[in-house]
Amino acid sequence: MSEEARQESGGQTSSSTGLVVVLWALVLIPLAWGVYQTLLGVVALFAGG
Amino acid sequence: MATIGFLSSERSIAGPGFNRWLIPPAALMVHLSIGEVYAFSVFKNPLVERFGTGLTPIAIIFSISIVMLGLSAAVFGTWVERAGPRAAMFTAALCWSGGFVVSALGVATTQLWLVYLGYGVLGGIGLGIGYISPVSTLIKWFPDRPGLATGLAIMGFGGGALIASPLSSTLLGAYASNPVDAIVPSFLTLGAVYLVSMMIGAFVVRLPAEGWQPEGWTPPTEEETSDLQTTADVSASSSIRTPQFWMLWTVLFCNVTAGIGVLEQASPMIQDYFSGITAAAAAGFVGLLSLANMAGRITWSSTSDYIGRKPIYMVYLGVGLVLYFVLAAFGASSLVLFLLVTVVILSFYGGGFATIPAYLKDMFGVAEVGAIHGRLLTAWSCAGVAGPLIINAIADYQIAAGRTGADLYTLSLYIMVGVLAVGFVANLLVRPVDPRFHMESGSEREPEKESTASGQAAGSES
Repeated sequence: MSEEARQESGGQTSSSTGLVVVLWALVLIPLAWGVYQTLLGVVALFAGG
Repeated sequence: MATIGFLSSERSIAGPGFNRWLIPPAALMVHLSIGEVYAFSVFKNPLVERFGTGLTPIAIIFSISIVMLGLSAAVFGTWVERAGPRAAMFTAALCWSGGFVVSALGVATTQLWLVYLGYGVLGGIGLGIGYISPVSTLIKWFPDRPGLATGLAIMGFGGGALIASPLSSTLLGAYASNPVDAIVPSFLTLGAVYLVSMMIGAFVVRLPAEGWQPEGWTPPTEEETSDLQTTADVSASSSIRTPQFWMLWTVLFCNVTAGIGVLEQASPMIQDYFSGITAAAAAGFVGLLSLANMAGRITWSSTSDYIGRKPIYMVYLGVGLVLYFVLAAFGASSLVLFLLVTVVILSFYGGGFATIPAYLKDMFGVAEVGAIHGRLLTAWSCAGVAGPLIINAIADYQIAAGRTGADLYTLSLYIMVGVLAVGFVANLLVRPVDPRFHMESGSEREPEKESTASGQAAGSES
């Protein structure tokens, strides 16, 4: 593999890792909020049930 | 159906070095969006007030969308397989968001039929196409862990309701002092949010290049696989002629019928079982079941990669059967027992949904698994009618007979034990597919051509 190709490949890997992090954050943050909101309701079951 | 150039499967082949862990969040973008359908009840009361009608005409909106989900997944499954995930996700995004816009118009002009057409028909088509769109792509990217991959995506369908429910309540409260006046802007906001989210998924998703394999993984040979894991492929049109397809249809139908029966009646059920439970605590119980449903999708589906698909369905249906019996016989004796049993039952319900694509891949191969999955989802539509019908009809009958409390549900739960027993036997009868249904080795290499041919055949049949 040429130096140029190696650099290009390395750049692609680091940018795709960044994209993976961003995309997972985009789905996990709202999901975590939804789970948290649901858990607040579940607390009522054990507190007031 | 032609596909615009940049949406075609040829234009969405991944380049070298593409990270396959981009695919699950792309799939989740779609499933978290369409999972909103399970939170539609938030709009029920404002819609009843807006249209000045009873609960039933409003409940029909949800029913139409679920029936359309099954029908469109079955009808468009072959097209989804042929056109590729990007075109399918793009179409699903337009239909699902368009459904909200048409419904907003219906609410603004007080035309209920427009809501049926928008959220029910158009949105339902978006649900069906969106639900199956990432399935075969995930299986192709994760041949080493298909259960984990499809479990991740289908978990999103359960998780979508957890986001949409508080989000919709917040929107209804934020746009106007009276929730009735906030329906239109809330629908438009949700439509816009889901359009963006699903489009991100559509543009991120890629198909693996021909011959791509995960690093360090080689496909198992015929000797290395179990009897129930084929290395061949079966076309979608051939699959429905096999007994295995109908056994799995029965398995899914029974698992969903039993689970949906409890899910649909969860709030009144816990209050009838335990007199001290308040409405707020009952809502918390519904939330707990939603969490169990979502967690079961990823947990059990991933477990199936290790213990096999047939054994995990033995657990869903066999252990589920015992748990329904325990619920019917002893559920009223202890709140803790009631909660434990229902939580596990709902985790099996979710697990059943999430594991079925991997089971289909094991039985019919990967070439047209998305289209086969689409056809199998008609079991969901049928169960969506059968489950609530059994529970509600028997509860009405028991009320008329003067029974109260847990007695309202005992008979239904015993019927569900029988339903699960039927599913258990169907799963037990699953055997490898007869090789005469396998695609020719040439078409195994070129599923695209085979898909096109079967797609045309399906089109001409319909």
